[in-house]
Amino acid sequence: MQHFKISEGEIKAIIAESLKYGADYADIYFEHSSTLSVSLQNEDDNKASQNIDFGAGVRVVSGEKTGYAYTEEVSLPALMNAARQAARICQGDQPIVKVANFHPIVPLKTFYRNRDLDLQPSEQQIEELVVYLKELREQLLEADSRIVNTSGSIIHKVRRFAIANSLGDCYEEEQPITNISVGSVIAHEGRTERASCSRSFRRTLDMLTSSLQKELVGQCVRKLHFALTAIQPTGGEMPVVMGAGASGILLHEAIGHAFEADFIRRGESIFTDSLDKQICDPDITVVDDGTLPDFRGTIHVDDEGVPSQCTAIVTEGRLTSFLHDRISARHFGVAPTGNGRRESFRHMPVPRMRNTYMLSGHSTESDLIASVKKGIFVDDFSNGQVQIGAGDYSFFVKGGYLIENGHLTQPVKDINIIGNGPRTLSDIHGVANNLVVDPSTWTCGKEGQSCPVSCGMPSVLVEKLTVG
Amino acid sequence: MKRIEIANWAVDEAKRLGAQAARAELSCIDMLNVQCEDAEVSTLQQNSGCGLVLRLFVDGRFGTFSTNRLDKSEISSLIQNGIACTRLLSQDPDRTLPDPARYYKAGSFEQNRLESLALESFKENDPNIDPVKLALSIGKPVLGSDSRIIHLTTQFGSRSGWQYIADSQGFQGIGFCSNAYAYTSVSLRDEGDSRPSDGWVEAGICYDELLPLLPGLGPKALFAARWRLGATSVKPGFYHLAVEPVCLMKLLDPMLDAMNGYNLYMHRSFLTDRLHKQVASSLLTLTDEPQRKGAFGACLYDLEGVRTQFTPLIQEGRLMTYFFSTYYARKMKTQPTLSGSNVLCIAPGSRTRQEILSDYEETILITGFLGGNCNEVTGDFSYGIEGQLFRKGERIQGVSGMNITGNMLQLWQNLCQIASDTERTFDGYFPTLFFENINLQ
Repeated sequence: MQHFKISEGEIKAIIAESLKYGADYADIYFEHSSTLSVSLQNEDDNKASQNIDFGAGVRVVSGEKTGYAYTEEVSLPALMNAARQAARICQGDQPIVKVANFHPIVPLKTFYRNRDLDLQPSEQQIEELVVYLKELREQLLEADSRIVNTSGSIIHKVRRFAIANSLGDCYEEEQPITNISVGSVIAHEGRTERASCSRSFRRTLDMLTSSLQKELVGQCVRKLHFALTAIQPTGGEMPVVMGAGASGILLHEAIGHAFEADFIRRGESIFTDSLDKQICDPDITVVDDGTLPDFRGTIHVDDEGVPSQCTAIVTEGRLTSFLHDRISARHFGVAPTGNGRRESFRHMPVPRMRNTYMLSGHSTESDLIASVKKGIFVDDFSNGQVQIGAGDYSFFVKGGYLIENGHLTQPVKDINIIGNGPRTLSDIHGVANNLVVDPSTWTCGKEGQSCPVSCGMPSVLVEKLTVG
Repeated sequence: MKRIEIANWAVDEAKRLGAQAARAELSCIDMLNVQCEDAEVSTLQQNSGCGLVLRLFVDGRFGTFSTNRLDKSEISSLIQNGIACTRLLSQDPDRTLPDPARYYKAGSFEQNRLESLALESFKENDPNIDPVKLALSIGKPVLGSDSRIIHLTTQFGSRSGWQYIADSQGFQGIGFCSNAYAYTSVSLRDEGDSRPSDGWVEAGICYDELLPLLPGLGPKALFAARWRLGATSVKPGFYHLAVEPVCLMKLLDPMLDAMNGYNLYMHRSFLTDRLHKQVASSLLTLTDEPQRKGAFGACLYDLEGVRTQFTPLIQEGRLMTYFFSTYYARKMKTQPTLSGSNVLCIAPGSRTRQEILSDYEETILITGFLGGNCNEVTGDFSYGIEGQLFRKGERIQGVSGMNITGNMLQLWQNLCQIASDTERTFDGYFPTLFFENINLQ
């Protein structure tokens, strides 16, 4: 805890104060983050920004009750005060558990670079970012003279955090994340269209290579050309082939949120009674994987000090695990799965997804498309949402194709897909052998907190979805 | 006052270190939230925080730098790094502070403070308010009242805070805000594994506004949840739609985004070249009334310090203005207006919602949206909806699993009736709006 200038003895005193009124668990979370952003809109509208955030939060748990308080002043008196505020959740007048001695820190498996990251990027690095964005703009304009404007931004965040709890666990971690996004508008014969694409990894600025520039420019221009010919199709219920990669949003919305064990603990999820039951075709296995090297949802340890893991949530069609934080794990008498995540020290951790994807099956994408007489193929998405209890979910399709007599025909865009989680799962007939985990910037929102995640999927055929 | 002095010092420090102009925005907030699950307290949060945002204008370049570490050495270091970083950008002569003639002026700093628009100051430590007791009380009318209830969540909370703005042209202003809110969500057992839920939120800018609303909160949430039971799709086709005031922003947001100077400058607006033209039914008059007393978001000046004023946005269906901040006005070579809207108001009609519902054979009342999006360039949209089917004014069934699709300009042209039931929401004052001939799939 050297970075936060607080000693082990002081931390133990703060946790002891948290436990004073009968709590059975307490933890303290320190965070220092720096977010640098550089953006370029058109030729001369460029902007830089940096945000520094620093603070600590104390959580006190008594049975199913949780008290939480944070402070932006990391000092012993301020933290003791936060501990007392959080401990107000307890009704007792004496401690029932003691603070354990801190265990020696066990080295965690590493899935991204997590040491000696710079909270303050150098001037040279920032200068390189500006040049990088200018080159992106030039390449876009060179690629198509009909492009009327461009925008690009790079966001680089380094988050240094430490956590200690009453069980004696203690971890310190550094997490990098870098996002780049590029967008442009094209005008042709009275029609104007926009497209954008992004990449995000748990990497430092070294991910910004010239080959990535070419990849982004190529993808953005392809999307622009696609948009110029795409139509908003007539809707209705129809078979949908979901292309490999970003279609993982289906898993995120249709089942992922409903598997988060706080909803299960409260009986609110449509999957509450489905553990160990067959919920879909035996060809389907879905994991929530916090160990996928460099991906956006990857973590070494979650925000309550549980080492990351790859959790099989659906195994050969059977629901095998929910996504647990410490509180839900204790409620159900199982081990936490490393899904306790939070946006910052201002929030309590809650069960959240990491990288959620379906494993490859045995069909091919072309076979799935060929099996559809009239339907759509979709592979570019945004804006997912779900009703946990009813299981209804939706996501917006930015791009796809009509399928007519087994062939991709007319490009389509700007449609919403609505389905019901359990029904959609049971309607998946055909999983291709082409798993892709999407490298775009996916951010999940829950209870006012945002968290970086990723999603992925091989191509699948869903027999029936509402498209509109 | 110590924190305000730090903000003032930061502006001076930025100039001393090489910025030609600077603006500081210091925000502090206290919040309290109590959540109960099935009439047992589950979480208690009490927090406060402060953050300083510095906008630096350096050699014709611009950067924004923020921190919650409010000691002078940290801020000075942030400014030094910020200035160095900003100098690496390209020059952009359009980045300036606003014309001082446009600032809100009340004569003195203290007067600004006294003219804060809150009805009364927030009673942070009111001894008569026990948030835990209140949070527990909200669910009482509902618990046990319906055997299908699986779970009940209630919340009671409050936020109060202030924001101080100072810039190197001499503007200083402080604005206060507060709100207290309560929320209830009810989950019910339906057929099979389905557990539909719905909720209701009530809020006020002070406790006195909120407390009388609490007894009705649980029953409203239960009523909404009951109409989710057995909700299903209806036959696809073209329907009359009614949109509840609390969810109207989903349809207004795309219009406001399209009026935004940034989107106009970036060619990302379906309202480009539509100023003073008909963009909606002549029934629609939409105004921004930022100095309306008692409104959430009411303010005397915007983030640039520019005085706010009553502004017609859409008058009888005609687009009356765009939102141009100082920067985007210069970019677009036009006069600045406001950075955005603050308190939106739609003029109500003369008939009640029920009277209008009775006019139509079938109407879908939209009570919520489920995802969807609007293409900012073309205005084409598709949104998932949740609601209820009415026949001749009678509520028939819950509706779910359907999308409305179309183009935003056409949707607003299809506005056909406005009810008289204006409600205050977090975004403004809206009645129920009725649209005809909307494609429901």
